[in-house]
Amino acid sequence: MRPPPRAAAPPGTATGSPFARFSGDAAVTTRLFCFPYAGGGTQVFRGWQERVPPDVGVTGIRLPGREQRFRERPFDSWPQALGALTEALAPETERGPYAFFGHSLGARLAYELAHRLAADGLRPPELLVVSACRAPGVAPRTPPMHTMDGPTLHRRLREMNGVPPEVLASRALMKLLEPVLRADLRLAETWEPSPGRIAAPVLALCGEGDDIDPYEDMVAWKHHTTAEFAIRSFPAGHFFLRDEEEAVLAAICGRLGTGGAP
Amino acid sequence: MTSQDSQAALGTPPMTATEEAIAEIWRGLFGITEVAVGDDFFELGGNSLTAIKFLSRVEERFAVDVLLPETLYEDARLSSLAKAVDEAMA
Repeated sequence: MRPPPRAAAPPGTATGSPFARFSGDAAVTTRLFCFPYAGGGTQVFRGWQERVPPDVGVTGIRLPGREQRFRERPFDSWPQALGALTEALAPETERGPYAFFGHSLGARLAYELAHRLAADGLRPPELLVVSACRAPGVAPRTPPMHTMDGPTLHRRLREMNGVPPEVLASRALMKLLEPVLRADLRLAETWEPSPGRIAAPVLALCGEGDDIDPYEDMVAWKHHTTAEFAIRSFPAGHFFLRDEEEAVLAAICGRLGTGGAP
Repeated sequence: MTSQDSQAALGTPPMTATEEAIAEIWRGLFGITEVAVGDDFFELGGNSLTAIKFLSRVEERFAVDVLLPETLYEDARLSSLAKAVDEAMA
């Protein structure tokens, strides 16, 4: 499956799009924009399309510094990240109902964008799914990773099961990927959450074995929506979205309220 | 969309021996039948783990270091990768 041609792609390059669209357009009524974790690309969301109802279109958000945007520098500040993502998403909000899913760093980006889009008077998401991310105002339980030295960072990544062991073992590949990962971690770890509530319902997802963003640090998300709040947990660690993909998607689709939702 | 569509959109199937060899590796890695020279490793579903597998198969098929990770990440289109391998082998 290939994303449809991009109208805005600069001539001569097939690279640089912030969107990886995994659906055709025909049957789609609700777009699900998926924001990745630190260091993550869009491909973790590729398999989601076949697990959601046909009226849901899965689109991965491709951050600079990875995949076809490898040559672009990763975001190095929140204003930069939110400015660029707002610009990319503003036209998308006019195409119809949509929802945000974000995991860890992605949840923070999605939450901040929901505030930003509302402030700009744009159509809000139908649902905000925050996954593996402590609520605004809750102090972090674990020390920051973006300042760790190489061996400490690698050990922590191995414990978290966030980077495949084969990739961690490849010096050449880690040399390429680590700067992007660190930049993303820095963004996640310097998050200063916007206060207040968003208009969209919030669904919080957490891993029962997640020592970084456990259940008790996520229930306070209920104070950040003026609509409904729900929380679900899954029997896995911080990266439960990969281990529990089917259950995670069932939880999301159950809240999306689309025609074909289970 | 089927892979036929992608070929119709992007045209050219693999022509050179190097392109065909890379296409064959991609068919195995991604479980697809049709690969065009304009196809991009990351658009077909490549990630860091598949990158490791791909680079190691290129190494088995050609030689050590004919394709470096940075070359793959800089421009992951099949035609560009084949060109890089040919230049390294020349």
